[in-house]
Amino acid sequence: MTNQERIEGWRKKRQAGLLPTDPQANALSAAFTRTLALVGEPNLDIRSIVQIALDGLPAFPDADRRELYQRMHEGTDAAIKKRSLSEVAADYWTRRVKGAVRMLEADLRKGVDVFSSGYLPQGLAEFDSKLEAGYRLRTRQMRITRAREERRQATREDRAHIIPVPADEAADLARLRPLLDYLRAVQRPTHNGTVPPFQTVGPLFLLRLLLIQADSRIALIWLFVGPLVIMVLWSSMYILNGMRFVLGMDTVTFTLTGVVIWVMLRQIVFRSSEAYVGARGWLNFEPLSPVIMSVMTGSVYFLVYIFVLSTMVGFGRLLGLISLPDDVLGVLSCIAGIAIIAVSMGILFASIASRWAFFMRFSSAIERFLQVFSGVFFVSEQLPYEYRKYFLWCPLAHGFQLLRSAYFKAYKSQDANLNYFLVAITLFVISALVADRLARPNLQPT
Amino acid sequence: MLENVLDVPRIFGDSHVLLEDASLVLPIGRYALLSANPEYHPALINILTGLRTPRRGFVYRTGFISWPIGRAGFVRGKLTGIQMTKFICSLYGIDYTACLNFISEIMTAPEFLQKRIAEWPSYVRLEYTFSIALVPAFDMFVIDANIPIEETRFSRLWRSVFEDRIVGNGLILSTFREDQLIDYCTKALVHEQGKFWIDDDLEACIRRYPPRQSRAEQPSGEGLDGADFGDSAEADGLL
Repeated sequence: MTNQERIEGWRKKRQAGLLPTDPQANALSAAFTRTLALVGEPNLDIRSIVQIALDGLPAFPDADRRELYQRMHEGTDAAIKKRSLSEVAADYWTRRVKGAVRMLEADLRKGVDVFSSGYLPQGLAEFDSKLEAGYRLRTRQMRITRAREERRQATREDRAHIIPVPADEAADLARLRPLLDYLRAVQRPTHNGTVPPFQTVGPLFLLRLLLIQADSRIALIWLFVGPLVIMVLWSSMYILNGMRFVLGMDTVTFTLTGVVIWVMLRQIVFRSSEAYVGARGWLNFEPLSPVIMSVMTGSVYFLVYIFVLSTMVGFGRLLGLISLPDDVLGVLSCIAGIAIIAVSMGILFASIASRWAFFMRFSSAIERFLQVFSGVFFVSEQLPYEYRKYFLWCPLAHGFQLLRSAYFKAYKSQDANLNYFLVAITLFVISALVADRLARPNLQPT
Repeated sequence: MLENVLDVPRIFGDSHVLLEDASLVLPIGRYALLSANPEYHPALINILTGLRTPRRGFVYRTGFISWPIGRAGFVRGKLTGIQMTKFICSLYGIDYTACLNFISEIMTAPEFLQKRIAEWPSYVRLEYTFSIALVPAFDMFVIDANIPIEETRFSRLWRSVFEDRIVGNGLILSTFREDQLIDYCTKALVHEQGKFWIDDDLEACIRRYPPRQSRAEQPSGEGLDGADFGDSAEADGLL
């Protein structure tokens, strides 16, 4: 007899009013009630479902078992409805009951003794564990989907989405939130969303000092020792040649003013250019720009070397080696002018290097070349008149000679021109800003 | 706001016309940055946030915009975490002590703050990068990375605080993770053919301009460094 023939026979009997008999009605009722009670129970052993069918089977002839199974399915549907199971859970339980029944029926048709003690359809446990794994996976996915939808809804409504956190972390969170509220309340207001440049001066000054110190524990000390060594070497050359004075300037102070300021210049040139191109990470902070970084770096080195010069003059004076400046303000102004040229050169070099990195290899040669023409070792008045013009084109020569004119009472430069020096400073600054404007679009913060 | 911006930066060794006579008014909102070339997003973010000057045109900022969160460019080098925190606090006018307390509280291993950043493990750098960004009271957050979503204490705390921070404020998010774009954004900020525009249909835009395959979806790239933030499903805290 085929399955279709069984179904047809069962329908005919039902239409003829032959079903159910009392024992069958009782069995059907029990199957429905027990299924209703069991479906949806956590940790339910699938054998319980098989047992419902086995208990009802004796009341039904072969062809009528479908009625029993049907009642079990109706019981499943009723349980799903009663317990308001989710779509995923409903599908799981429906498949579970149907699967158990299908495997039992298959064994019945194969002639397996299903009423023997300890009977279970073969492969039922594997079937059930696979079904459960699938159910857990779908449940997890459903929860993720629901959580994500809640997350997205919070975004759409512009409200905070609650992230589930364990109890100990909730305590941490309870401490963090008021801390942030406080931080927000006391934060310095911005000017239309930007930090005014003058407010970056202090932090950047401190940063540059920290970066210098971070190079080495002796980095700040070396700022003094470096110029001192060169000064001693150069002074020695004059002293060994028997020169105590250069155009009325004592040689030790003469070399000191040349060496310290030149070391300052080259430090500013190279450090400010390094700050311009080499510190792109800092550019992620809106208040900082390459020019500000360069200018602040130059300012730090300017102040550091003013301090170095003051200290060396002070100690030198105590030892009777160094003379004191005649016009302190004039000296400081000239050093500031040289520092501005140095920063401008640094920005110019760095702007070029931002497109052509190899240019920085030339920069040290340019610096050495300028050193010869800048009056560091000598002043133009020491040279024969016809050669002076070959040195006085260099604005730095004017700067150094004006500096020495201000420092020494006995020396007043005849060749240095203040106007030339000031115009040169202006042109250097303009050139640096133009170079920055051209280079800036290519400087990407990293 | 962008006004007639022309931007032709050198990227990957060549000049690219990223913006050409581009104008844009960007009201406060949550935007997913999308384009056919996600590798140009950092350069675009630099322009949008005013970190880089365009060749021509103007960029106006009317709100307090964050630095591109997730970039670790400044979190490296010779400074210690404490020195770096002090610098950022002084730059933005933030209470240093409270800020350090916050950072120490949220980070997994705050003891590293006393060490040089160069000596930090990558996960500490990432945690620091993300946590310090929560401190200033930004009006617009710009995130140029995957949002941390792994199932860790730091990630849960960071996201919880970030959820508080972002309410009423704006967001520009550039990430390779589509799910994060949909989770956190409501609109698309689309860049195409030298222009920006805003599109309300975020999901359609994501289909049109799919972000690059995320690291988590690349079998060979998984766990390359500390930027591996784990499975986004875990972010929901339900597993």
